[in-house]
Amino acid sequence: MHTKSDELSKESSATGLSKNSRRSGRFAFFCLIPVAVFIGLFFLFPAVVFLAYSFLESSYYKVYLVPTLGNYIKVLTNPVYFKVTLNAIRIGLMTAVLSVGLSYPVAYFIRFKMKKGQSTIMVLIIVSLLSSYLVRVYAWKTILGWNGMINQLLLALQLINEPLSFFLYSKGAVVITLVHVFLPFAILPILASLQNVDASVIESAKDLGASPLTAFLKVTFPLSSTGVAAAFLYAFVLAAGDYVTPQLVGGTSGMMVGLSISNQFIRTGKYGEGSALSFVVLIVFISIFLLVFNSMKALKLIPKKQQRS
Amino acid sequence: MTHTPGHCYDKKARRVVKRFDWLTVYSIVVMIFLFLPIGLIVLFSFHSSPRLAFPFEGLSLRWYREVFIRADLIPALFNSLIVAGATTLISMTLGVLAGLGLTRSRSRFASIVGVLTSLPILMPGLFLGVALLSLFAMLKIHLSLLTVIIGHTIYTIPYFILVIRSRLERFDLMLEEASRDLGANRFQTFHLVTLPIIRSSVIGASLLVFALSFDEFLITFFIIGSDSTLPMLIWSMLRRTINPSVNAVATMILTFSLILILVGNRLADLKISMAERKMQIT
Amino acid sequence: MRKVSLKSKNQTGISMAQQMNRRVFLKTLGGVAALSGINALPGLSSVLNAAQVGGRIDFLSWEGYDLLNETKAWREKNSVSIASTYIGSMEDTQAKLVGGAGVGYDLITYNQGYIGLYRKLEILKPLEAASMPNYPDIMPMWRQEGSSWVQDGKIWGVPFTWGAYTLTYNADIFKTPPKSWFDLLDKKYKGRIGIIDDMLIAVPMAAALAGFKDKLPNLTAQELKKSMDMMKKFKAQARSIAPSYGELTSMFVSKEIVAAIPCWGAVALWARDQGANIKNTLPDEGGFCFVDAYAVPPVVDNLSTTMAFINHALSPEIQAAHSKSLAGGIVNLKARPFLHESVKNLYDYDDLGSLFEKAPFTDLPPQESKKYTTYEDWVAAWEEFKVS
Repeated sequence: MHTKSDELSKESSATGLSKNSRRSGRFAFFCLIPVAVFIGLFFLFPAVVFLAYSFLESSYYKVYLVPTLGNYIKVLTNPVYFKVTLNAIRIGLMTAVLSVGLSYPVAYFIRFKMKKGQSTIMVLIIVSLLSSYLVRVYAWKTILGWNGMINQLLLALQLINEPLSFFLYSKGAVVITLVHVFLPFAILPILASLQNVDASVIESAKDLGASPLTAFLKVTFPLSSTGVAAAFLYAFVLAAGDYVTPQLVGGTSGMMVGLSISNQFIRTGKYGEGSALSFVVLIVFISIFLLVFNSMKALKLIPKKQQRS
Repeated sequence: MTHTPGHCYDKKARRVVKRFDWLTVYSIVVMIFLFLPIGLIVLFSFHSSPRLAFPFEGLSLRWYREVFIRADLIPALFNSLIVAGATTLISMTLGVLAGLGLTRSRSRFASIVGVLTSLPILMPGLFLGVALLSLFAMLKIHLSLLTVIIGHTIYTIPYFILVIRSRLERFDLMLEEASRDLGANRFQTFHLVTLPIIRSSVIGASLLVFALSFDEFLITFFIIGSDSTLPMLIWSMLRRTINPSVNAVATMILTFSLILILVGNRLADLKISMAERKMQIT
Repeated sequence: MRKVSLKSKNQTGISMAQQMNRRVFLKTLGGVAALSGINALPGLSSVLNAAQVGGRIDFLSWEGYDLLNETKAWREKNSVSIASTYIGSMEDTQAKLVGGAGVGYDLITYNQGYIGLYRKLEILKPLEAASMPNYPDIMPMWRQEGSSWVQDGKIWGVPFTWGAYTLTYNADIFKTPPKSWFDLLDKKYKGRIGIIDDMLIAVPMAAALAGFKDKLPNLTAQELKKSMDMMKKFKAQARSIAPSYGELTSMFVSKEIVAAIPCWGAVALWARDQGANIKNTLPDEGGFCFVDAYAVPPVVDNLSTTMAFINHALSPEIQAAHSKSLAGGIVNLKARPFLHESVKNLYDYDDLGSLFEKAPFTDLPPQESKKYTTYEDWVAAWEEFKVS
């Protein structure tokens, strides 16, 4: 059937600059203006100023117009900063991998296997987020603690004689709590991108002889890769930047870099050093994320270029 | 949404059923993992003693009474709702527009804006709070709930945009083309074609933003005026004495939002099915 | 509308707000001019006459220090409302006041050690004794020239509550109170000790244990290192470095820990409320005390009401009331007969002298010094301790 839209699409693919695409280009431009202005004014501007601060001397909440590389040197050579950043990255990666690993199958299940109640379950997941973060962390203390649920269960089943102490106040407790807290943040983007995947496409792949695993790896996963990337990013930065949970359930096992940054800005008022640390950590986070993302591309799990339908 | 052709199931019935079992079990386990702590929160909100630890000593409504006696919990709750609500509306508006712009344009400007919108997520710690505090001081903007809303929007908008992009990335533009061919202008197309299709992702992302804003207390402290939001209050309460009154607050929030959203969802479904029925009749 | 005054004392340093002002002025004249007209809605307090008592007090300090429940009757009578922002650590106060160029609060508090820093940051306003009729009733030590509250003939702060950091322990485990902090290093308590994450109290504690108590707050780098090494021995015994006293309380109650070093006396009170048998004791090596004082920042909206509030907080009834709710010591001995049962014997009011000798008030280290470790050095040392 020869429709007008066929003609138009032929035209646009031929010339590349049809009236429609020019109009949509302008439309897209105008769509972007509000957010660009907002972020430009309230984020980019102060961030640039603080970037400038990172090259200046500062102490006790005052910044002096004295240029220096001292802040960056301190940040890059201080063993404490190195340790806490490493800690943050480790916890962040573990949380992200576990979050994505746990939530992908669930999102898949909700999207393809649940006939009814998809929106209900999504609502339940998101509503669980509205119970305060702090209260949720405390709930984990009730589960993992000396007198907690797990220990009580193990004692009742007589599997142990005395409560086990390593469940709480350990790195493991931090990861479990963070995974739980950020799980909805991982499920949601994956679910959103799976909405794009038409079940019939998967079926067709299987009809053509692909095993379920191949169909998944070659069809489903790549099509939902943006969602997976978003989920990984959220879980990673939220977990790596968090420093409240380690204080509450991490025991003596280690501070994370967010607290160091907080200390520089709040306690010592060294805006220069705090900014330098923030930007170094920013670069580290971006690098890690790109590393993971590109290695997935290399493993052909993610398409090299995004296909537009 | 999931209309798989019937004949495929007949052929692969056995394989499908097997996978169905594992996946279901796994999903149920993860769901338990997700909701068990929530259940504990609700349980302990009724604890008759102030301990937030087992053994469980009995049921009581005392903490709910405490919440209403306290002079500061309810105002803090309202502040949080106002801030989260406004943040969600602004993020949603800016975010949907941005999502549309980013997925429909391949210009340099679009890619720059794309990177820009993901930067706030990557700034660690209280950087946002301190930077905004300095900005407001310089621009002589008084600190208030409005400044908190601005801060929360910056904090949450990258999350919204990323989710909406995942959804819009493969959105079939032909649908919009077709609609405009049929005479609808851009606004009508968006309202009647695009929006209903991405509706669930928009709502999901909005709820995510709401939750993020509602829970935020580190950045908020810096840019708030002489007010408190609920998580700030809980954080400061937890510093002195931890008791189940915070559980009571959390349970109340959970219940109200659950009712609100489920009712809203039901109403929306009703609207859609009524519209569908209308279309079938005509 | 509140006028913000940006003062820069230091010749070489300019406050950030001023600096940003200059830069922006040079770069984007038009934009800033347009934007600087933005104001939030004016506060209630500005509507009322400054000389009368009434209106809103904007409060920035610990939750509970705004005495919302205790002062309810007085506030209703005088039409006073309090809008509060609660801090999570003492430093939050200076971060917000200085970083935000002095914006918006009428009433703050400071811990005695911070007087030097806060005077340097110029976030304290001298107060008039005449506006506080109850002021002479507080114990002389809180009104002495040269103390952390009266310097250069001016009143910078008004103490209203205090407490002691001692050894808090589970009396079910320790049948007799431990005589020395080093008792906690016994192997059987491994993983059962709590440490508070509060540099201002933990570092002096470490110094006291290492034998440098008399040198405080001036420690050389070597002495600081030795102190932290000593504290690391306790860290090996620790279950967790708790971010708050509420945390320590819940850890006591759920039996995660059997003792805490050092610990605020109130924790024992709160833990007892939750049914745990927790007590305080002052070991041979001693402990420390803190006292919190009300103060007023230079940019204040509602001074007369704020002073009336402070005065009311010093009255015997209110002192007794908040002694119970804050589990703190009173500063006005006239309140003694009104003290609640549970806090009557919290501190030995007959002999406070010997308590304060064994548990002196801590001071912050110098901000700048060639010979001794500074505040920044302490922050770094504490961070290093937590990470080791």
